[in-house]
Amino acid sequence: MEPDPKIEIAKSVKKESSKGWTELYLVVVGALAAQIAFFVWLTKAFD
Amino acid sequence: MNPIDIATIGVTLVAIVFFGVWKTRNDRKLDEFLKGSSNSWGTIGLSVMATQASAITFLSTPGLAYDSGMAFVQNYFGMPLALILIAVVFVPMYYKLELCSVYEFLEHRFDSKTRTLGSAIFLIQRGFSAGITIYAPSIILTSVLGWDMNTTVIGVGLAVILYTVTGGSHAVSVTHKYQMTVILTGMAIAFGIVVYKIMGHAGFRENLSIAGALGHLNVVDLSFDLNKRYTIWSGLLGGFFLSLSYFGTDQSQAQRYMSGQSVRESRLGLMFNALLKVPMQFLILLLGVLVFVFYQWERPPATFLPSSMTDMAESADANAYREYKLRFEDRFQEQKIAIDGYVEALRNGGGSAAQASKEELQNASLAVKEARSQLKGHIARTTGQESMKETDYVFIHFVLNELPIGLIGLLIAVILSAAMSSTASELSALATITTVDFYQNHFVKDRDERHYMKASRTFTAMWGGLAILFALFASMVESLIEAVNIVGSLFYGTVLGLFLAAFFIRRIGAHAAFIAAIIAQLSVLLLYFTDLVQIGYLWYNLIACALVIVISYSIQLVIGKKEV
Repeated sequence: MEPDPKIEIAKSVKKESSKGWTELYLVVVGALAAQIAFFVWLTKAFD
Repeated sequence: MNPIDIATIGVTLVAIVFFGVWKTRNDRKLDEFLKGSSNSWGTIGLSVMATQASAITFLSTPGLAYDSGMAFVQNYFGMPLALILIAVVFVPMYYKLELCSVYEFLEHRFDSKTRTLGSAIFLIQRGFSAGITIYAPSIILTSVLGWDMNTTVIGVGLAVILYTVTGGSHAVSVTHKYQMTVILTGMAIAFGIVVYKIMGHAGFRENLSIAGALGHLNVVDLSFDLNKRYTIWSGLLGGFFLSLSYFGTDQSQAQRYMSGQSVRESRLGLMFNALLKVPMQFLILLLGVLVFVFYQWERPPATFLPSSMTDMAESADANAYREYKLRFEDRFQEQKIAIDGYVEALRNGGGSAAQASKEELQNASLAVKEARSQLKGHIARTTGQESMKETDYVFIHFVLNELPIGLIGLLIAVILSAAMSSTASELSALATITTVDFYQNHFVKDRDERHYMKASRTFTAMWGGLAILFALFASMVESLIEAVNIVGSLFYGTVLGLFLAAFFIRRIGAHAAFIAAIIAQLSVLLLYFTDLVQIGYLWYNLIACALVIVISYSIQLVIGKKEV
């Protein structure tokens, strides 16, 4: 019997959700925080 | 204009259009036309970026920084956080349901009328934006280059229609890669040139000190003032909701990342933007600030507005014009002496001498500003063009007067490429929604793929035609970049409220969501047009979104158990 494609997609989505994504999202948040910190410094340093 | 510049513009644009048509010449599948083919994360990342970066971004943003500094970048602080939420929650769901239109999701979760409402709001606001996207660069380029307005609008519009009708969403993704390459190269060169020019007068840090002393390096504002347009809080909160709406629920963006090979590719494409968008926007604004510094060393024109206007003002009242102009030139010379004094004091170690020179410079700058605004006021009064904003013309003036031959053509190709890239995404998305959510869903069901392909092409051409018509008959509204953001903020919140209720609050049913969305949309429009409350426009996203959720939840509580 052919597998239901929607179930297959859902499975792959679940599988992909767990691998390394949290680390990537943390990198993005960290980069944003670093950028804002740099902007605050720039504002204060050249005020 | 020099023939080399004309050739650069022509070759760049024709090559992109030709490539888009040629690359998609064998596409026959409806899915490919509406959603695009299986793209990698790099293509998705650039396509998402190209969709958001319109010509207005490159014309108006440096001008905004020239006028009032860097605070606008705060608008983008919420964007990386919104993109993470979209990558985690929205993308897997859209893939799971194999959506062509994001508003189909509202039917899966609520009902057909809520889907139609979401689609209709999208068509109204995106249809309007598509017109502005073509109109904005055309009005500026035609007035400074002396091109014919109608020919420019129709030329840009038809070029986009050509490859969007031929290759649909696939052609849009394919051309975006090359458009972004042209855009990033051109902007990097412009940045390098302005840095080179100001370094001829003083060191980079000293130039930044001049910008800072004149209040142009005010990147972050930590105050809690709701009346201010740009603060860190409005950027994080309002910007988060604006980005969540734009990337999560606007078909023109969702269509870009839903064209991925897999959930993984789409997510990586979004994270590419989450990492790069704020720095990119910062650099575009910094470019504007550096152009501002350049014009502290070199005397700027009486106005950046088209020279035809100054000519008109001069011929209307030559004596008054000359008097205002001389006063401005005198004040500028005084400011130049103050700048030299300030730089000298910085080189001698700063301290109290630098502080005193800084105050002198600030006073001299105020005098220049006043003299210049009197001159601009005189020009505006005599020409009757009081609504024209000078900021939209600053960057193009710098390009035309300070860049060498060949690079002027490249920078104009940047602006036209940006106009084409965002318009193409809009037309493709508008056609997809019209075909899938209206034509196929309500009017002509159960026809074969060829029929809907033909319908999609017709709708693409129709929306392109409407955008051209709008651009031909539009008139100036505030600063162009702000006009687009304001229109977005007025409509996005409602649609976002529907999506958030759909994703996160199971209790809310179809009728409650639909009624709440209508009430929220009308309330926001009422707030904006009656000026009942004076708030920055980014807050409308949050207000409409909160209204949809609170009202729909309250209605549901009254109705009782969730209806299906």
